Amino acid sequence: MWQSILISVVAVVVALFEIPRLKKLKYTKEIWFFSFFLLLATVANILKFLYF
Amino acid sequence: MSKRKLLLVVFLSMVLLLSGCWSRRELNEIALVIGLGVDKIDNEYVISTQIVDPSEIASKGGGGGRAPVVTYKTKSNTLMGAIRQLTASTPRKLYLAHLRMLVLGESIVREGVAPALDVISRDHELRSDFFIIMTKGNKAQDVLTMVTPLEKVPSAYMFNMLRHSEKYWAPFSTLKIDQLDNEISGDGKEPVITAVEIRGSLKEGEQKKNVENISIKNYLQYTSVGVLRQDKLVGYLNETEASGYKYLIGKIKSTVIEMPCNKDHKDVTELIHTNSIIKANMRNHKPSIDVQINSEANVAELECQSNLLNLNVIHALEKKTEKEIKNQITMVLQKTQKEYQSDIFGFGDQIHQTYPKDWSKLKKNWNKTFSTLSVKVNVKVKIRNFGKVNKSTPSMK
Amino acid sequence: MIRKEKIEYRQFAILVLLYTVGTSVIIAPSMLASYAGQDGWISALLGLGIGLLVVWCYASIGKFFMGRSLIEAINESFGNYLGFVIALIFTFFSLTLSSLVLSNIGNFVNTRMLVGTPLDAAEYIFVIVVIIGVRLGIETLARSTETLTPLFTFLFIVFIFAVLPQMHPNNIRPILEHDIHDIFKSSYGFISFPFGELVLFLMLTPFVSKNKKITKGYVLGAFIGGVIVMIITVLSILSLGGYGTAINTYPAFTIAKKIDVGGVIQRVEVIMAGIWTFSIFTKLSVCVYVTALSIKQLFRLRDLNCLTIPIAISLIPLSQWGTPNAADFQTYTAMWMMYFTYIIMIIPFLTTGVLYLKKKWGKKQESKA
Repeated sequence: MWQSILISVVAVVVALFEIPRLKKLKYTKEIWFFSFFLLLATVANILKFLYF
Repeated sequence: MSKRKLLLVVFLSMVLLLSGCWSRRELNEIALVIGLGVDKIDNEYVISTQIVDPSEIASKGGGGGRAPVVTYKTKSNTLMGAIRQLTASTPRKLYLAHLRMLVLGESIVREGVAPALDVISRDHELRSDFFIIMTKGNKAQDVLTMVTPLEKVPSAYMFNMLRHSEKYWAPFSTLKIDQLDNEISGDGKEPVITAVEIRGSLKEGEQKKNVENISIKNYLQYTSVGVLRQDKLVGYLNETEASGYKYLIGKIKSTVIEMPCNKDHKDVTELIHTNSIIKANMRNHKPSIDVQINSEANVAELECQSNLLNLNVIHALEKKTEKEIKNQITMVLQKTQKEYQSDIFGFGDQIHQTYPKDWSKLKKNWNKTFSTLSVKVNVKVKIRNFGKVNKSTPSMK
Repeated sequence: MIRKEKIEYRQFAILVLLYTVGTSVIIAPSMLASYAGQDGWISALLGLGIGLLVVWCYASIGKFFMGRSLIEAINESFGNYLGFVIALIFTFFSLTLSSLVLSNIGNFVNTRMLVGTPLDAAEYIFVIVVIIGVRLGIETLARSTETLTPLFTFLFIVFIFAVLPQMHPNNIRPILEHDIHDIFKSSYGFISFPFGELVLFLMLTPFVSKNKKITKGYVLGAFIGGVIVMIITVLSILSLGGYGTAINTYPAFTIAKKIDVGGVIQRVEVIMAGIWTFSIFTKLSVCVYVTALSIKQLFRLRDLNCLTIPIAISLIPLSQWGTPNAADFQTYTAMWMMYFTYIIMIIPFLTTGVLYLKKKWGKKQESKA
């Protein structure tokens, strides 16, 4: 349980680092892809911790 | 910015280094198992574990009077169960990586030793550098409770005893787990295990008093070699037969050979180099084995009068040594072929390696074929040196 | 197209070498001996020969692409729709491979070295290092591996000499006892793993500074790497026997554990495992980098670094779902991964064929017009 919270926090931190950097470069498409993949990865990790 | 990066590096390196300490165990939390004995009594394994007491071993001032090692006994249906069950009676967790001796009780070798070996080759903590011996007549748990002189730790005592006797005295050999595994699982060579016996009485040998005398009455001794078929004990070889075995497989490092020179005296030669070449032949799908043994020897002891500068004397000594070696080999061949029907020499492997096609047919019934296999033995001994003096000491006249 | 990052052909060769040695050094001996027993080294020799041929083809293809990566070439030859699907399959392969490499190192560390450490902890830490490496770019990665190569070579040579006393020459006899069918069965696996997997480097060929030197770097790296794996296989067969090599999960580690030079140099297996961990790190980094690069080129993105963290994090659940247990890894996973690799191995050849035909056809059209 606490691992999935931890991984969510890590994901949020990563997003807080990455998105402003991409925004500065005006890479809108990349922000969408990045967010999508990060969400996918985080969900997979949470599922792993909760169910497997 | 650079400071932040530095901090990050420090944190990450801490993560890397600390993760190695995940399951760290300090020396005062673990029990170093140095000897392990396995018996089977009433269908249950009895595990005896010899554990070192580091404070007693390390102390120079004699320690606190406790025994330097402790041997625990536990009963369980499985080996691993028995080892884990020990945590209920010891204050520390067992640590198996420093194991020196695995003692197999005669009872378990008679019933089949393979089930007990599985955990030993599977468990990650065990290395493969310990020796395996068996007991003859006694239980493994008794062997591990004997108090030994010279070495404080009985397992180290047995370990060094076996190592040195392999080097300087023919019959006994060391055995490690992977070799035993290979010989049990393969079908071309059967294993032999050196057997230890308790001399004297166990009751007195268990007391600390045992080592307080100058003459030791109760002690451990390697006396014979157990012959296995697959993983089951079929019989023993005595010292002479066991040396014959070692000559045949060419594993002799150095030993001495005694031969009578007249009614009540003997001459002794010391072998310094020995090798053997085992060759498999196949004629009309019938296998046969040729063994050539080459040996170099020195004159070690002459009890009869003889002049070594006379070449004939040297030749006669060579011939006598050859005859003696051949004699021992014939004895062991007789016993293993006729009585035990167990190919401990690896003749099957030799045939497998030279005639793989024929071997696939032979291996099914190998023990039967082995008992009627014709083995030709040829021994060649060369005497190089005769020590400090060239005549026997003349005081006997 | 102008790219910022450049790697020398020597660095490229070292990357290929470490990638080839990578995970195969710990599991290939067991795989080779599983069907062929003590004849496993013949399978290795066969596999090495055919594998080098495959690698030479890859190198020629890489040269033929003229500074395009595989996915760019696929897009060009198959068009937008079919090309997208094929490139997606390739990306998926690269992702699967990364997760398998991770599960490999995770299981290895977890069963042999850090036994009490949870699998998760070992894998997350490994992944963090890989993220750092990949984010720094392929050039930094290549240079860092180059600096560590002398150490790798030194330890490897020490390893060979330290194992020598443990060997029994008789273990390799009888030669050619198993029939040719069994020997081939073992070498199929060896061709796909590690040589077939070198297809990932077709994504990295555009970074090599001189296009002409690609063949040299590619083939030399694969050759030396293959020879190293073969030497390890021969060493394990000689010291453990054919049967012993086949039943051990990690034969190379087992023989490293047996090292005992005069009672002085012993218990050094962790140092030896260190060199393999290093080569596996290189392999995983390359895999993750290629996955990120594939996704970047697949969706025509402009930034690569933003993809590495999500990919790397997703590897951990993927690796544990892909191989739930050790038995599964050795039988089922190894099998389907082999077939998958063979399918992927065809892609560059197809692409080249189509490109070549298009070129010819285009010329004809021009000459007609």
